[in-house]
Amino acid sequence: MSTKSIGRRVWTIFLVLFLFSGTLLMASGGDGEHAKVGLLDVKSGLVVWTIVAFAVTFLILKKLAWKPLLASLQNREDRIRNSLEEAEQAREQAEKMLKDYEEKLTTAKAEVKDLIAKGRKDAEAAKENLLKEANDECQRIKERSQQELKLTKEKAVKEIFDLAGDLAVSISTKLIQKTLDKKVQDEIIKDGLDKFKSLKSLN
Amino acid sequence: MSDDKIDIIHHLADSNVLEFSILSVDVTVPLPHFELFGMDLSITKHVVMMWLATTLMVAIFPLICNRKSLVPTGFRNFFEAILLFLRDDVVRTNIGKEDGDRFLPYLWTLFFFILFCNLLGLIPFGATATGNFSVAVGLALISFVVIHLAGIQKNGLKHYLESIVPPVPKALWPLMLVVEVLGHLIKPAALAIRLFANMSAGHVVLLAFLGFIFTFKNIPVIGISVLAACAVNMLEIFVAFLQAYIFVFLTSVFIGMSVHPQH
Repeated sequence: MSTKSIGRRVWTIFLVLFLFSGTLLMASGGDGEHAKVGLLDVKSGLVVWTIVAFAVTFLILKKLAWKPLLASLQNREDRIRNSLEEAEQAREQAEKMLKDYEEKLTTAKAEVKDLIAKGRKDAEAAKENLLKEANDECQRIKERSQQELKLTKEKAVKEIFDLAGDLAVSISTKLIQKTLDKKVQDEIIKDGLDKFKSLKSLN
Repeated sequence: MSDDKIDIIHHLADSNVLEFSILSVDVTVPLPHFELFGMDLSITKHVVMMWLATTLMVAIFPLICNRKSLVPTGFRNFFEAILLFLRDDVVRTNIGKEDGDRFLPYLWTLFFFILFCNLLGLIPFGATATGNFSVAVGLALISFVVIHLAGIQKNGLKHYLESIVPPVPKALWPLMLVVEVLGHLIKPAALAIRLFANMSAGHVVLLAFLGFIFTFKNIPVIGISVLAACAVNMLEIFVAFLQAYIFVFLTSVFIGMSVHPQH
């Protein structure tokens, strides 16, 4: 529907009404100035003025007001519709991103968990290692001490045996000095043996 | 006593002069009288009021409708609410979206033309052009022509004329033709009478209330009369909007019926 044809139609309406009111006027025989004023009289002149005033206003407003208004309303409606669609899209995108991030977060959490577990295991192993080493060291030290102790003891025993030997020599010396008396001889031997025994118990 | 007599009809009727007073000095401006093709085309008080209304419309609407901002503010908001209400709840509902939008400029203009004329009649020294039967008849004639041209344009002349009489038995056809044609004539006549009667009635009541003051000439009556006149004036503002709405609403209903005839 073009503006031109609407404009033409308006003028047609105007023309038809103009002629129509003219006919009304003829029929009523003209409303003179001196005619009695009645509220229900139709004055063709005023009808025509009404139609002229309306038609002119209509044409002016149609061109200067209603057209731009309809355009701006259309524009606004489009804008609102677009904005809503864009907002919807943005929301969907945001949701997608949120989901992505949540997924990433979940994987990251799992990774962290693995890392912690691995770290703990490593630490455990290191601890184990350290303990083992410490134990080994301990063992070594203990063995060495025992070795040394043994050596010392052997040395001591050897010294005792040397001392016992010396003692035996001194006993036999004494024995030879005292001589003869069998009884005394037995006693001396017995005494020496007891001393040796007591030495032996030192071991 | 005869000096105080108030002629109610005089206040409602058209006249060849503009009367108003500035600082209690009465001013009477005579209006030109002329005829064209034997028709009395004098500029009368109501013609001047119509011009005032159209001038206001031509001044206000282009200004409002050409604002670039997408966000309506202030006055534009007020008028846009009305314009959109008419578009969505009156025109599109009754005529349909596709067909209705083509009649929007006409119906918008019609609404504000009637509204502005109605409201100007409430201003002191103003006159209600729409309270003049001739003006109402003029507007109804435009509606009549638009209603039928809309139907003819949409459905084609032949089809439109056929659709005037609904499908009835052949014997009833002549009777139905008369009834339907009468109906089509009565519809705009009712539009005109409704508008004119509603717009004059309020003023008659208003003047009658104020007339009591001059009839009874005592203080309590003044109070009651002024209060009542105020109330009626409030009512008149509402009626001004209501009648503009009803005229436009019924016109769009009729356009809708003519564009989409029942088969």
